[in-house]
Amino acid sequence: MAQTISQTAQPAQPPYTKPRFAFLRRLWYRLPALLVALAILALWHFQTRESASLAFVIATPEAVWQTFGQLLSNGTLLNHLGTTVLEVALGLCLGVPSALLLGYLIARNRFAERTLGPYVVGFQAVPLIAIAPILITRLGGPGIASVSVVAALIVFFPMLMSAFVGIRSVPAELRELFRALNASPWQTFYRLELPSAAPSLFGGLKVSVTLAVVGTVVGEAYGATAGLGFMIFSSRFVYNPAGVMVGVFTLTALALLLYEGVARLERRALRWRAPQP
Amino acid sequence: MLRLEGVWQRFGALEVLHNISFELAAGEFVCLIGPSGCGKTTLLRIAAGLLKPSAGQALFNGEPISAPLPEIGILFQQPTLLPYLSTRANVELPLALRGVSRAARRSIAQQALAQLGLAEFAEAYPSQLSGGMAQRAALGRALVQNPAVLLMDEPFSALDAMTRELMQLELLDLWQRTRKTILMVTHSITEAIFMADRVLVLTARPGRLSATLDVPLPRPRRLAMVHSPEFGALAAQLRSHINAPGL
Repeated sequence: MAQTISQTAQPAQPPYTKPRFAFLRRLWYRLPALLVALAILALWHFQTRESASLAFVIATPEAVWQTFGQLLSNGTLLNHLGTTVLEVALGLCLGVPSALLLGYLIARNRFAERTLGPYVVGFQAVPLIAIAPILITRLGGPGIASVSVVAALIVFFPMLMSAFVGIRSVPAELRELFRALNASPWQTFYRLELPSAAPSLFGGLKVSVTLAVVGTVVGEAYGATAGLGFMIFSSRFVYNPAGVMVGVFTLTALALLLYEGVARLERRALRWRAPQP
Repeated sequence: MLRLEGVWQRFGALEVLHNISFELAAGEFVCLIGPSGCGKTTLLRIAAGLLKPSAGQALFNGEPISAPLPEIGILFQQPTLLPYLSTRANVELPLALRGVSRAARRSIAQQALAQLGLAEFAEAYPSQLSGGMAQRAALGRALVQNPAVLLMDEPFSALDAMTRELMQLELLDLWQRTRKTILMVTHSITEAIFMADRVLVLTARPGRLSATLDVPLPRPRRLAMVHSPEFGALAAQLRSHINAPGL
């Protein structure tokens, strides 16, 4: 009897074989993005070659490449990169859990939402650049700790919002089901709320990792002596546009790498959402 | 088995249920019918221990129901499956929440899935199931705790007509085999008479029990019975008890 209905659904595990030329397929998939990069590179090359006044602001691709090699071989780049990575990691470790905690509280407790909600939103409207110097002096001056706090603050809001939206999106019927099954609060959290909120949390985390990178640059703008942000500002100070651009590109690469890491984690964790291959 | 004693329910100034008393005998199949908004779902939530009535009480084997009991299973209008769990894990959920060992719950769930014709979809996610299969999985989830009483809130109303008839027959078959006590809310006169030993009629707000109709049709029920004169007479009688226009 069940067979008659079953026909409308797909089988649970359709056979899946790895296609041949997987590498070529991936390349083909990435090709449009690579072409855009090539176009920008070409535009950049010809623009900087024709205008002498631009040379103080933008280095030629060749000069950037040269500086990159230089900074890499003498260890300067890796040194600053290490500092930035540490600051990003600390900022995320600080900002993400605290945002999740507060987001959960505001989502589940009307009183907390009424009391704290306006301040959370209001705080988001405060430009971090304006308060960063005050913050850094209050936190014992420029250094890894204070810069990490700036990074933590910048990821706080998107992470809190994603936690809030995720927890609020748990359907009322499923909550009722868990009540009917006498689930404990902890069981309700990790078997219902956490997995239901996961799509939203991963969205917030993707935004957060890239923002954390930006956060370290904001933090390093005020008296820091290490980090890619510092490298950018000090290069600009001595009119070395190539150094600025090497810093910018390294930051971009770092942000892309972090984003890709989260995206992979997301694909693994949310396999149930994707159609089976 | 399951008894409601003078149950009243108010939500603020709104009176939803007005002095409801009835009892289900063990193994009985009872349908609760009434116009929409007459408090049928509220009544079921009280019987399930999900809602404390404003006055009166619900009793299971003479004991007041203050919280949901594993002996009382509930099936909602929607399948309410967790989208991130496989069908098997969904069916296992009540056992997992009670701390039943992995091996034990797997074998129980496997059996339930096989009974419901879902064995080959055990590893599929709910999004890959048809509406009928999803509701079947929800039924499996309600059955793994082996409840004595099954409360059903319009369980087939979201299904298409053909799937619905099929599920009705399967449920009757399951009931006949397991002799569970079933209280099913419906808004279909045909479904109520086709399924039940007894039909309770609830009036529009505030909901009160206006009539009880015994259904003396023989078991097992067959789809063709719907067209018999006895069935027609019972349907007419039931309709006359329900004083809501357009039902």
